[in-house]
Amino acid sequence: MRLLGISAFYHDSAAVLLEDGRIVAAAQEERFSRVKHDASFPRHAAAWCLSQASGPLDAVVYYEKPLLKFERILHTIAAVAPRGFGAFAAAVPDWVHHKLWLPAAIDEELSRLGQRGVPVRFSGHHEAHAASAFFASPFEHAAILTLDGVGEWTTTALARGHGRELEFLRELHFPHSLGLLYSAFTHYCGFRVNSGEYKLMGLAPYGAPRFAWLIREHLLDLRDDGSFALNLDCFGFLAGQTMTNPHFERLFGAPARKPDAALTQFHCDLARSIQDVTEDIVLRLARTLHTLTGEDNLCLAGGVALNCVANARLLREGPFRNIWVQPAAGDAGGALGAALAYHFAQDGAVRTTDGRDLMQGAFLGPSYSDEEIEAAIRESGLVAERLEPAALLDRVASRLTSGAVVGFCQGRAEFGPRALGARSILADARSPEMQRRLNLKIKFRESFRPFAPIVLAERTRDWFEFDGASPYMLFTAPVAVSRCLPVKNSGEWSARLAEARSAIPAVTHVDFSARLQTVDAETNPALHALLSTFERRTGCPVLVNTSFNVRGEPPVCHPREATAGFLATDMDVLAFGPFYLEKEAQPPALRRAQRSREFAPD
Amino acid sequence: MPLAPSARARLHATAACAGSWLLWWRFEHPALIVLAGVFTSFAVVAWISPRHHAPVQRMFDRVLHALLAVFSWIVLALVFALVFVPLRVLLPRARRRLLRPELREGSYFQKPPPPRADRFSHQF
Repeated sequence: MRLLGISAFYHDSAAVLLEDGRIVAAAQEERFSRVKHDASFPRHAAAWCLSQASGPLDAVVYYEKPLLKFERILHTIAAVAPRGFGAFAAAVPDWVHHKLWLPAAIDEELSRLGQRGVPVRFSGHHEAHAASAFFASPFEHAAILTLDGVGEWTTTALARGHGRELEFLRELHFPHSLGLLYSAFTHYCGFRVNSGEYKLMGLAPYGAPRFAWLIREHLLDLRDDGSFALNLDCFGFLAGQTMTNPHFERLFGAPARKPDAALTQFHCDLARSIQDVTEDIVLRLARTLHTLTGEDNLCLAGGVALNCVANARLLREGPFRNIWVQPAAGDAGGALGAALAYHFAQDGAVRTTDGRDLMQGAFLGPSYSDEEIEAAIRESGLVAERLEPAALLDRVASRLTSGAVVGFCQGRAEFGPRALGARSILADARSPEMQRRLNLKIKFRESFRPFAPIVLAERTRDWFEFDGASPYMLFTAPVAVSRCLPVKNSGEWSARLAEARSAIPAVTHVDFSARLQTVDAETNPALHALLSTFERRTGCPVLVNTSFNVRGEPPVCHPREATAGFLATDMDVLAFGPFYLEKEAQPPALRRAQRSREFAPD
Repeated sequence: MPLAPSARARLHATAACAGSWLLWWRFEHPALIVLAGVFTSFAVVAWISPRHHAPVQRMFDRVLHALLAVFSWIVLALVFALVFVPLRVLLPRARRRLLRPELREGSYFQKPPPPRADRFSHQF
């Protein structure tokens, strides 16, 4: 059975091709359109997925139930009227013109791609999340927890998976949503909703949870089992088009931060407070789920599952022995889950597990031939050397040792928000200057934001307090005590940035934590080989890994985007496939021309 | 199938011309004959030389777009005022249920209904 899963029209559109339950291709539209979090129909992603198919489609499966979602919108408008005309006028025309006619729209788009008359099917939104978590996991049976802003009505779902069956046990409904609660604080601290949540998470360790009691007391009624109700008097998302309102601002004693205003200790403390409350809720939900199911395994999905600090606390303190998080836990993964949910609901579908997940390291996107890479390099006028694999890795490792910043692009692009070594920027984690340099000269972003380490899987325990695997960078872990340095750890939050806290300061956050990616040879041979080479030279099996993108753009995919990014930043080296490019070896005119480029905000 | 720009220009100009003459025939006001004359000239230009008519067409498009926007806002406001505001008044219990879910045995959790076998065929 050949299925195309689609997510579209809200944020992070994606397409996924499934053949007999195996993921053949998966890609987000933003990687092709170059529009970050592109919400439009994933025309390019679908076209690429279909180019990988070995025959016609049996069905296309959309990741939510549009009419149920429209019902929720109308119901909300009726509940808050006469307030909310602005929200009504913003939402309804789009629904009337486009979203109520989805089957026809999808049919038209697929016809343009040469697939006529393909049946269009619809999965529930949280069913898609649950399926993306459980069916892609290595577990034969598990508890499943999905948490996001909102799908149709459901914001939180507790479920159980066994074999090819999913059973939903409990739900929380809109507007009582952990995702929306976290997004409200994201907005209030001046970050963009649906893309700035991880910045809020990164700010939290700089603060103290002095507002946590205020959140618990005034913003929500949290029960022992993890269910909760929001105090909607303090939120603006029902009737208005902003997440918070004047009641919220009065509660915390300050207006919402404008995006270009300075961050202060107040914002750090807010971030830490909401992070603590979020972790508390997630832990309570997990305990309830464990009581309901008795399972040792837990699968997570939904946008809140990208909160890797909460995931780590769940692993440490929660009742589950094993946790697997869908790497594309947000709405892009809904495309995968929709297809999986439909596939396993068919009679005759068989699910077998062999202890490995279905995600193939999340390397499910496009790859490019040596000829295509060479053509892009030639087009850009750049100078490159073609090297054998071992020589390339040796050269890259050597440059990393000397403090170079390297763009590293190998094989198939990642599916999901994290760069995992296929479209990455790598650097020496031992350098005290590297965090600052990467933030200011490469990523052009806020300097408080930490970078994440990659480490050889077999050497993880030597450098981090972490057992097991974290191949998708979805858990944080403390840096090993033996690698930590004494610090003052006091004073203004921005002053703490400059302190070296460990032997790998570029990836050690102010609380000595790191968002870890363990690299094993089977799933990620190129990166594993590079780390091994670097370790042989330096004794350190850890590098900085950050996504290869310039500010305001999604991660690169095609070689031409990588060459453009190489020229637009202070990157020293680019290694794309077998091609090695040194910045100093490039024509001076090219290096000068690109430097004045403007970047969009995140 | 969308019309070619020249065909669209001719259609709009002809419709405006016909409409203005209809108005004059109905109301017989001197100002309307001036208007009819102007629109007739535009129509002649549109038929003979759509390229020269283009600035007029752009002005027509802007006016039409503005009229459609105003019409849309009026319709939206009427629907909101005549449908949703009365619903809010008539269904206060539904509002309470949405805004504060029922607490059952100390929990806000709801039990989802059992899934239908044909659920993938429906948009709801």
